[in-house]
Amino acid sequence: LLHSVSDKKIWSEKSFSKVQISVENIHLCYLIQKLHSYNLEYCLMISPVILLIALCAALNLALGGVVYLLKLPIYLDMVGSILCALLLARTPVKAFLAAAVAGVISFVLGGVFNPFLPWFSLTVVAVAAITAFFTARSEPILRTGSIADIGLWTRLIGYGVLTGLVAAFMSAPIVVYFFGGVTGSGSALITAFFLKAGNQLMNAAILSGLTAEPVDKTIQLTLAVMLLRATPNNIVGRIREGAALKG
Amino acid sequence: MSPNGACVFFLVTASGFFVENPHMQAWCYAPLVAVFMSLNVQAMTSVSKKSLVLVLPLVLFLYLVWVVIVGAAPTNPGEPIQPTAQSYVYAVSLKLFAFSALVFSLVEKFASGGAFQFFNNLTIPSGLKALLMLTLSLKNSFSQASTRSFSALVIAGILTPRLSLRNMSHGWLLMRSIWVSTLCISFERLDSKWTIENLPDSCVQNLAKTRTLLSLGDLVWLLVATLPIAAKYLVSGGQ
Repeated sequence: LLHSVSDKKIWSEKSFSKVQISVENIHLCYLIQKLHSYNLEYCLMISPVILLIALCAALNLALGGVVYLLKLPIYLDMVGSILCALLLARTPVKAFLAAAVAGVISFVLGGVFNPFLPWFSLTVVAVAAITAFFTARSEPILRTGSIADIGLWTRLIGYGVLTGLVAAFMSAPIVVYFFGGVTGSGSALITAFFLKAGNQLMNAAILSGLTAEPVDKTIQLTLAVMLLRATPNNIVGRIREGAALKG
Repeated sequence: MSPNGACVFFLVTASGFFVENPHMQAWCYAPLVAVFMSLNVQAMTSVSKKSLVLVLPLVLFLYLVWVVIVGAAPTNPGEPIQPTAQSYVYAVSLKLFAFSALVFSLVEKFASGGAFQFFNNLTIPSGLKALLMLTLSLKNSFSQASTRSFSALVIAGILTPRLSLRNMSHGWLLMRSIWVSTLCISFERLDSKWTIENLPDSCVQNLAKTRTLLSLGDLVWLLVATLPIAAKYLVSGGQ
């Protein structure tokens, strides 16, 4: 078996479609991947994690687009990435990579209707890191805790504010150096307010970020947790099973 | 122009658009985009209309913020001079219009083959290609799931067909329904439909084909796109 799967040509001819979705075959797929120097193409279509990344990128696109067009002073363009990191909470590094890839893909594709969006890809990577390495530690409580539990809400607000602060400091230099303080989102109104109050551009951009981002990220985290709680257990299990494999 | 060339041309031009000093980039790149449109796009009026529809609300918003509220350009807020703010907003608007026109021109140019064909002809790892295609496909699934879930919740008497307070308070149920609906459909496809349709096999064969990296025409456009950046570099004395 090892000899036959190590030959890419033979494997291609052996009708890959006959491989059924099962843990054993995912292991086999992992083996092929190792043998072909981390070439992902053979694993791609049967991996629940890849499907999750695409789903979360599409969710980012769907929500972010609506909010941008409504010119609200919030963004809601990272709910999918946060959800992706929370669903893969047990494997933080993979959670970070998956959430970052989902975020960057959605931001690049979103450039068609929002020309400012692709330049904030670094912010979504930072948010993915915070969610995967910090917020995801409380995933069991966020997923199964009672809504009446005050600990759940404390965590939601705490992690939301932390994510918002990081996002604000990541976004401010991009807003100032790339766009001269001008973006098409509703937060430009807040920047204008701080400029009017006599602040310098960089300070105004940071203050605007510090005002809008913690609120926005807390709302986004709340929405992501709401969707996490709605996700069926069997699907969560499959995603985590796929992510737990080495490689 | 090949899809690879279009992507690199777009990246170079877009970087030029959004690097500091908005006035200069606007006047340099707007003619470049106009020439690109006239040589590559047949439906120029349609592309211009689409760009205008996208940019006009944004321009009004920027005018409201910087001219009406602040009364100064963001680069010199200490000096409240309205004409400076106006010229700033006009320059940024022209830049955004040119940028949108470029995006829609490229979309129009490759529209006949569709987005999937476009991604398929790019020289990027096949894994990334499939991920991009899957994302676009699932975005449509989200739109369809929205309609289905909304109808179901209206029939159940939870939401109303028009804007209402009940919709505001129960909106989260709609969001949950859309997510669960799309998620379950996608995983069901993964288990049965895609396997029956032999999708993994055909994808591996199609996506792994080798493509030409850049054609001669692409290189000419790239050279033209880098000229304004080079000019700016020379004018500023290499700084």
